[in-house]
Amino acid sequence: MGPLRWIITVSAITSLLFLGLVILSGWGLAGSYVPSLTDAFPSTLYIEKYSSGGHLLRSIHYYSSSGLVFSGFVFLCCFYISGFAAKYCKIWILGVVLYLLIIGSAFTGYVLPMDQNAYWGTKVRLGITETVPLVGTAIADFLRGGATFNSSTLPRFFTLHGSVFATAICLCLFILSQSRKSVFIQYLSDQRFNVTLLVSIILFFVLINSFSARLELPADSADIDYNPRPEWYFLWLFQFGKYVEWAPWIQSGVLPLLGVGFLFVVPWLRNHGQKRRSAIVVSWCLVWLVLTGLAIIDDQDLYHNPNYSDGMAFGAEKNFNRLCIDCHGPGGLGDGPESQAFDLPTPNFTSSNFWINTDEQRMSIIIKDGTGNDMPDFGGSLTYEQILALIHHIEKSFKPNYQE
Amino acid sequence: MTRRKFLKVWQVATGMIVSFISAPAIYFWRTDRSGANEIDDRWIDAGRVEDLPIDQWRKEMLLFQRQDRWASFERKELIYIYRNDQDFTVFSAICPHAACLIRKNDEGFGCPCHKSSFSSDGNVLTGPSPRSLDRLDTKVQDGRLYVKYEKFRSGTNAKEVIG
Repeated sequence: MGPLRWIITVSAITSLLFLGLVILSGWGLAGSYVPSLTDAFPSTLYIEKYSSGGHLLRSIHYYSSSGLVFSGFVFLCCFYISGFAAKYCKIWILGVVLYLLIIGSAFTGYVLPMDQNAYWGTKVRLGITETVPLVGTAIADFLRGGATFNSSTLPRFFTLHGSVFATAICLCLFILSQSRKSVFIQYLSDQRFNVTLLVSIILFFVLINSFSARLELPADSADIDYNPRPEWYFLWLFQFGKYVEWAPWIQSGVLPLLGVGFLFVVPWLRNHGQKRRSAIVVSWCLVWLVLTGLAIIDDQDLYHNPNYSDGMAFGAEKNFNRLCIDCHGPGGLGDGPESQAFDLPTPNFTSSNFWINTDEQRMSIIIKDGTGNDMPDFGGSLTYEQILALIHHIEKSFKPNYQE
Repeated sequence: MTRRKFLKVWQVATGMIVSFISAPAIYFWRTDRSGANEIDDRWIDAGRVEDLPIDQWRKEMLLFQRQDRWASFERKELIYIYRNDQDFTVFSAICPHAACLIRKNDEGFGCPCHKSSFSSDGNVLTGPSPRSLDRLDTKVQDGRLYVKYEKFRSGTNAKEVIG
């Protein structure tokens, strides 16, 4: 068996493995996720931060889907180079449909956390969809349930992501398994192969536990400074779009049509040999690498969007300077101008006496409800998460001998 | 009828049943859409007239509730206001090209996404924007400025109200 056939089988099995992980972790996530404009972000934050195991589930879902896009790509490339595309026409067409469904799931899953990146990124994508000649606006409105983000948008994306596309993927897999399973079975019955597979799964879990799926601040439709960026596998298209701003339909209409059209007619292109097929794949990979590289270089000096905890910490610092500093003072000594003018008994955050009878829970109640006399209540203007971040900021800045 | 023939007919029949069932689902998605809502008051309070500086551009955030199907949402929308004594020019901060948020600059307005630039009158100076900035209607009532906040479809020559 040549190396190409070996890569084909391994990438096919890896894709199946990733697909299984994506589906199983997706079921887990769907147990607590709520697809609504108001609840999408809080439920995602709950899964990520407060539920047990939710963090790991999100990581698995996020990185497995990335891995799936990659291993599926490797499979399609090798299958094409080896000439099997013409020989096993049905497998090839099903593989292409599967890959498009996976890309579709990635597209619709992107918006679900409803953080800044999800909201703005999806807005840009739907904007690009609208520029598809003739049908673009109708498709975008169909997906959104209207011409703007609205109550039905998230339920629709969630249904496509977790139900329509997922069912279609399983259907394709079923048809595939009917047509040819000998190669898979041959490998799956090989003990050495099974041990390698098992070790890779364990390594994958260990590795994934130290990486987390990105979560940014909740979506803010009036944030003028936000720069959304797509996932790594869409960066090339994003970069390409910059060069054809004068004719966006090239990016949204012509290019996808040519690409997908080529994939579908491949089995009937019989007159070119393996050398030319390899040249096509290699040149495409080079174009991909160059465009992705250019996108990364272009982005280097851009503002980098903070993740959730950094964004909250930054917001807490701003909130302290806006709401607390007048009484508690810039150094937390309780010597702010307001406090001095009215001679208020403001506590000193830097003294260890203050921290003896105060813990995070007591502080959160005081910030939320006030003390009833001089300390006002901020429960109406700050969310629970913002109050927690504020306490963390105060501890970090002023508490003696504080360790994270 | 032979067994084979029966199965063929049954296959066609199930196919037809499935497509008949998918038709109303697709029809529902096509027709159930949000748009400009009759219930909402479109005139949004933008503050007291006397608080607005004369002959100066100002960025304002409008906060209001809008009803969409079963839910009412808090909306946050940016606008730019220019006051010339009792005349007001108000632009939506949403770029007519690809719906990014425009920023004020020395010559007028600029969009960070595709580098469209606009004069202070809202006309397109350079860049891919298909129309000038979207001007919003204003009225003054009891010393307060009201802005008729509407969203328009991006990327088209005509101003189509979408919400």
